[in-house]
Amino acid sequence: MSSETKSQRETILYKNYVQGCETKIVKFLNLCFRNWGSVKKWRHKYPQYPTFTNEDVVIVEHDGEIVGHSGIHVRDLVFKNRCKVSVALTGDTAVHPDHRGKGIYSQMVKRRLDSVKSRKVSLAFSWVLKGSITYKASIKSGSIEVKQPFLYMKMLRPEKILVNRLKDLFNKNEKFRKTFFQFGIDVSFILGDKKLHLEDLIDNPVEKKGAMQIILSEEALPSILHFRRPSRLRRATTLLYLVLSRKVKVRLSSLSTFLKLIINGISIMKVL
Amino acid sequence: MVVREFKASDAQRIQSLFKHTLAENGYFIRDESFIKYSMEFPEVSDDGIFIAEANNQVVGFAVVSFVQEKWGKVGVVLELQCVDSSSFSDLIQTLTKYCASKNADAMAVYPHPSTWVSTVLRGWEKVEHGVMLVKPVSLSPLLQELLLQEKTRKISQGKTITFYIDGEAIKITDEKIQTTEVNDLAKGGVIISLSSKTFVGILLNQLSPLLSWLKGKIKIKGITNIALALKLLNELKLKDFMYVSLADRI
Repeated sequence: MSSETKSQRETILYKNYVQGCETKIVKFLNLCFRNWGSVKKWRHKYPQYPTFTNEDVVIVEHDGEIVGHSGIHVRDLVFKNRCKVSVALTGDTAVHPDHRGKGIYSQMVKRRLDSVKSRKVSLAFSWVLKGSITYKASIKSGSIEVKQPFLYMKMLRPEKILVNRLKDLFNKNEKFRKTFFQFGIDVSFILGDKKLHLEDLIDNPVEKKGAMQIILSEEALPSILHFRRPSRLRRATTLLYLVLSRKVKVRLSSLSTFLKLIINGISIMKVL
Repeated sequence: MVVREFKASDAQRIQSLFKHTLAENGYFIRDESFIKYSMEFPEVSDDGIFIAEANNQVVGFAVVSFVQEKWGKVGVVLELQCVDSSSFSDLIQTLTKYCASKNADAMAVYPHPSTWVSTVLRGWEKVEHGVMLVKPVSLSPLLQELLLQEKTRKISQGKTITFYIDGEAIKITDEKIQTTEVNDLAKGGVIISLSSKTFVGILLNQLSPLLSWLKGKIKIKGITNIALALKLLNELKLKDFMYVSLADRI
């Protein structure tokens, strides 16, 4: 082990939550999870939780800056109205991007488990995205996946949602935008009786030679809204499912447009 | 039936509602402090808590919060419990109107799976929204609690049963339940050996005891003990999905 790594490890400090560092914690969580939320939300989630103790939040510091956070709730689970057992609910576990790969995550998880074992906890629950790094790491470390009922969504203003989603997708993902427009096809979306031209939604449109119409049913919107979250394979299968179930229909103006779609479709999926 | 706003005197009756709707399931405890906690989410306003009442009984309960996503404002129903399809249907109608009145672009509900859910929510889109992972930490307190129950004790009556899970042995006799030394295993009557993952899988209704035994994930000592051991494992498991409302998630 080099002396540099050694000294870096020595300055990493694991500690429990102490009052006063909420703003720093939330700033850190917003850095790691992008849109985590406010100090009010954090306070409600942790110090105001009915069973909260300071041990329930593990903070990792490096040179006075927060580089890791992990939360836990201990709560009673009722089994078939007959017996009660203590369980732990875990979440909000994050490591600063500059400090990943140093074993901080596994140290935090270990500390968390040691802390709950002494509180006679039988099971630890967590909620993650299928296929994510956390999911894979948890399965590897002995967690099991438990089937859950579906979430149901209803679109109250489908057009507004579609416009916002497309703007977000095309204006913020530069790589996707560039690949998509190598197509050179005029793309329009049809939802109900409303027609949206892609070039009206994005900045700097380019000249088009063919035309493609994407006809969406309202039922397809929830899948499209969550499109960027799952793994690439799941995104591809979702897209295929939407097309095969006729929730998304694609109309092309000519055979050459169809060939362009086939050729460029794979490269688009790669950057999605 | 009426759907109205929450009153402080409803808290006790909401607890009874959860006990009723999730009776054969596993759920996180709802005492007064947790009911209060679920209603005090920063995104929940006072008019976002609904009670369905019929014949002076609370037959439904819902808490709505609002989340601003990149693509729009979403009304998220954090809690939703109902005793029957009519209370569920009435609550859903009220919640939809409420979300629309607050300029929400979409609405999301996560109901406890019941036969009427798909009928009432026809036209709504089903969405997968992450998975629940469960890690066994220390199974001994859980197993002891489960084996103390009258129904399980009836099955094991007159027999000494030892669960051997990941190096830990728990023995149940007519008199007591205790953790025991691994060396004492041979002296016990029925010995059920399985991994903690298999045990939790069975408990949460993810694995069938019979199939797990056929696959060799469960080992039962003695051919005559197989039926009893499988009956006991079947009694331990939940009858339905393990339901965790959105308010309960960390």
